[in-house]
Amino acid sequence: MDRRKFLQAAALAGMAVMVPKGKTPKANAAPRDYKGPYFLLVHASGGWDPTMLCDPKGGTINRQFEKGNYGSVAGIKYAPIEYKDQAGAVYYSNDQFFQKWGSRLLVLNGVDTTTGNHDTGTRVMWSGQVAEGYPSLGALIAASKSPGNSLAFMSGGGYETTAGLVPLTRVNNVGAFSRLAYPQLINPGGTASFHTKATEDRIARMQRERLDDLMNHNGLPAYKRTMGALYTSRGGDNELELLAKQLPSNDKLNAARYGVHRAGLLALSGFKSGLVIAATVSMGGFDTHGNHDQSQGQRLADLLRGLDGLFEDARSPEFNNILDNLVVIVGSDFGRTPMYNSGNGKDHWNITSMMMMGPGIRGGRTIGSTDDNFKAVKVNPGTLQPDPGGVRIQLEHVHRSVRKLAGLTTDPIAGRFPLAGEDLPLLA
Amino acid sequence: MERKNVCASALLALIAGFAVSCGGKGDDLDKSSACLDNRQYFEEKVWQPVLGNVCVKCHAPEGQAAERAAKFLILPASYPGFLEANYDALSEAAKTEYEGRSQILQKPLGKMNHGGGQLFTEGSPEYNALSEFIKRVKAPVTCGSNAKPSPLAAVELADAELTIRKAAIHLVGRLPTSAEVARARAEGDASLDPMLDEMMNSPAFLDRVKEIYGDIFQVGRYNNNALDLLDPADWPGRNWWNPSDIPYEGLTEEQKLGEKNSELAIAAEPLELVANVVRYNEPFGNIVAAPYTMVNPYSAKVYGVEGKVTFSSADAYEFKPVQLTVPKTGQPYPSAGVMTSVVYLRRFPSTQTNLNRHRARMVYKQFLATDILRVAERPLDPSSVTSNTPTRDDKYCSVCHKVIDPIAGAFQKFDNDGRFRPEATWPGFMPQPGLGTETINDVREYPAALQWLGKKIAADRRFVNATVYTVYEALTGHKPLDYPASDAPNFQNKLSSWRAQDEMFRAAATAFVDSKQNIKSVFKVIIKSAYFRAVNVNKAAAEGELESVGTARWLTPELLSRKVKAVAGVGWTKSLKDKSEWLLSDYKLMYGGIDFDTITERLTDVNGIMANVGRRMANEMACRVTAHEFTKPKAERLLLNGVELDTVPDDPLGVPLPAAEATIKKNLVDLHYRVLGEKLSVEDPEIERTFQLFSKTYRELRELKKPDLAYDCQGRWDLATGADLPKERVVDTDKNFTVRSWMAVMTYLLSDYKFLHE
Repeated sequence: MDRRKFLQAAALAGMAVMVPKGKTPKANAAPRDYKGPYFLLVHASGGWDPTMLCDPKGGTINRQFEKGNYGSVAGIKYAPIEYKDQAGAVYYSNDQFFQKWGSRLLVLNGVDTTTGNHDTGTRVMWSGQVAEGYPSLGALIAASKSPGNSLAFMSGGGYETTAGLVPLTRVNNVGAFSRLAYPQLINPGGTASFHTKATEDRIARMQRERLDDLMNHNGLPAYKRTMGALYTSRGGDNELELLAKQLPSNDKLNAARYGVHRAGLLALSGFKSGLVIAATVSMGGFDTHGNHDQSQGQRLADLLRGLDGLFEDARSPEFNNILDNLVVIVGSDFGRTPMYNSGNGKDHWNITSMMMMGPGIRGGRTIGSTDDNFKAVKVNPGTLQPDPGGVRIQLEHVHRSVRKLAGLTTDPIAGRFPLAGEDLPLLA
Repeated sequence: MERKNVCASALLALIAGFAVSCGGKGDDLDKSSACLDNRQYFEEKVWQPVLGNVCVKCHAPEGQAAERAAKFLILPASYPGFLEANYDALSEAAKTEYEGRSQILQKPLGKMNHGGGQLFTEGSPEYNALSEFIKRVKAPVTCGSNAKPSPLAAVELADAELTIRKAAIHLVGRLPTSAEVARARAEGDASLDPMLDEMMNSPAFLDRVKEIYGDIFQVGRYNNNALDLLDPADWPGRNWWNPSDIPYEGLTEEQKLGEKNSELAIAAEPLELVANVVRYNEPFGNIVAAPYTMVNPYSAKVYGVEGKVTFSSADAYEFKPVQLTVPKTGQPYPSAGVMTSVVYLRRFPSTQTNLNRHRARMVYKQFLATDILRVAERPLDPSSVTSNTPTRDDKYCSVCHKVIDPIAGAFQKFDNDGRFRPEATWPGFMPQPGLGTETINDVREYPAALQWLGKKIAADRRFVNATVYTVYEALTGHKPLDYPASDAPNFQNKLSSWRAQDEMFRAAATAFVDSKQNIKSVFKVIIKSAYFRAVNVNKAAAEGELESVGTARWLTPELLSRKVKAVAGVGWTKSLKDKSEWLLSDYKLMYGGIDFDTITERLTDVNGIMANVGRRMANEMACRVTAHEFTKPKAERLLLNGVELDTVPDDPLGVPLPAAEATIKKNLVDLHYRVLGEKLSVEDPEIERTFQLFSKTYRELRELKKPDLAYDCQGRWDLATGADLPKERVVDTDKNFTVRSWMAVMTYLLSDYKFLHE
């Protein structure tokens, strides 16, 4: 059994990192034939307020603008909010973002997270299930599309649960990374190595043989699992070198002012290397129980500017115009109440919105809606038009659609994590 | 009166979902069945099919029965300690009788105004299970030798010698001493407790405890800016080191040191308090109940208590407990362990509308083993809420808020910035300060509400659970298993795993309580258990079986850093001059560590980057120490004390040299023991494998005929100081080709699974 088949089989058994008895598959044989799409999952942590973004209400729900007043592009309406500094100067606006990217964006409004609980909301948003135990959508896609690739799922925060399907990778120190990409070199910039190539290979081979024997002679799940994890994570020298070559310079990273942009650049580099299949990015500060309009506005402006910069980079030659091959999903724990509390804040509300774009996602549209009290309006499962006898759009519907987009409908690994609900034609 | 050797038929249990006690004597015991003691009976026959399946639907804390003020409440499995709590609740409820029968039989028959109406009929399996439970409450059943066999019985444990090695690495960051090894060999398991006690009386153990609780409190975020958290209006001594408010560049070195050490002390307060409790074997509940604050000679001045406490020196790392006084009022500061430390309060801040609920949630999570968010994680619909005070009035919200809001209220005299404000007011819709059903009714006691709360927490069974779980997770890297969902695949296997682990937890909890809350007793129970010591099992476990048995833990950057130093004699530092450790600086986060700020969860599964950190460490350490070993006399060497540079496996013609091979293999046996904790004989296949690595590398290098040794890998420096060695000791060439052969062996061993895991 080759490495890929073995890892696929192991993943099916819930033991992606376990190695079967017998000879260890050849190392350095992780498949690199995945050509996209890549997936970037952006989490606005704390619970954002869609009524200030893509589900505008105005009036008592949004004190910044009148009811019925909104901007629009293609099939998307957005809140006519300008973000201002303390001196009152406008530094960004929803108009700038949506007019630029709206034709690519699909907006899902009236999405019911069924929770007002941060942990649960984050979990259901990115796993499709309220209860614990399901992997992040990113981990699921990475494990399915690139088994045996220890760098397939890169995290920049957010929901990181992998359910043992794939290792989780964090990259935060670009400078130190090059030393890791070339562990055989005494100095990464030089050519002198600790051992000869033949000795390096000998050490690696004997380690694999020893690990094989250890695994085959140990029946405890904890040992088998961690031995398998070490096996899976090794043999990737070429992978780290590839990634190291693509990582942005510190100057470029530092020039990206917004967290989503900065973390997203690392993800884009990973996609460009062909190693990272799915990545998460998270940005906090949306839990605005007090001084909502100003605080939420600042965070939304930073999020939109971060996405704006990231999308620009993603469609540049430097990143091979990967934007056309990139699925971006932006979501949050849940939404915020339609009413202000005594501290001019807004509390937790289970209804939220999502924004998505990428190949296979028809942009310039809005699916789903909310009523004047910011409650979800049910939709007809076939037409997606408002229908009192229809269904509320929930995360299980969204995940079913995204899994379908990613080609996971009949994927046996995804089959281990079945989703409730029915298929809704949300994306096409 | 006890009934002994009572059995329950497994077959009957399978068919009917309940068991009837066989009663009587041992000869009644069917070989196909196993005795269930009271608790086991409750768990298998009462909780699973009856309480957890039927009754909990209404009697859960947010259920209809609770809304109607029912006294009998059932905790779902998402609550820690739910089994004990429900066992106790049902045992207590069973004692109340109506018309000569227990109410727990009458109610589900629809009698005694049962709000849920009739649920069972007399003679139904559920009724019979409850009926048998009532009998057992009156006459407890124990099983003795007929008890159900533990799934851990088939598990192979590390012997005393390897257990103490592993414990030494975990607890004090070193290898066992030769005396400890000798004692373990001579006395076996009986030696473990006294040796663990000795280790846990050392300063290194206190550092480890601080590391463990540092992960929980996350106060490391303030290591460089803690002074700013104090309001100088409250603490006029905050800037004692700079009373004239001189710009920083104008400060003397002494003043800068004063600031630095004050900063360090304020940031360290909570963890030093934990260490103090452990050091002096105080009841561990003092971490939330101690009426004192820890200060060093510098922070004593910040708080204006330098006259109340005596230090042996101006050592910034010497901390003493002291009762603070509020400078404005002269009244005692209401210290309640870590909860009243400003860094703790600021690490878990509040807002005008959050009203200390975040703090309350953390208190539940850290000290009461309860993740309050999990309690209410089932789907709900807050958009249907109509009340103006939903946290109080709406069941979607109140399920959590009625639990956390009383604790939030106990923090009411501490503002959002963690400042003590005894005059602060509290919204009328919030409940009184309290915990569970107990409340503080006298408003004059509210300024000291956290002290009241701390004592209540310390006496709460959930605090015992929290302590046990914390130690368990620290030692094993695993989280406690969740009680499996009844529809989970391989449910019985998972249940068996949960039970076995729960049994160990209960043993640790008992030891903790019996030792007057000495946390060291918890360490000892867990270290001696299969969860720390298991190394193998006599047959492969089925899916769900023996989960979390054995640590198999990917070491944290901190643990690996200490292990490298313990094994190799020197740490993996950036250079011999620059003593910063790679694993604690540049690679800390990429190796799965945390920064207490944006990254607060450790990675526990290795990824490609982490694996390469291990490889680079192994290469660099092999380079650093191998040639250096040969610069020392054999007696001073740690790793290669059986061989010399000219100990080669073959003669120049390639003919094997048996004596040399034996010498090399003997050294390999020692290396496997020192580096990997493996006790192997020279005939072991693993020794042969490592020997082959050595000899093949040797032959390869000999054929290359290049004796050059990379400059960085030469033995020319004192590893401790970086100073040049005397010329006669320098090893700057590899003319025998053995240095690089041993380097290959060292790389192989230092990047091995067993070195990177414990």
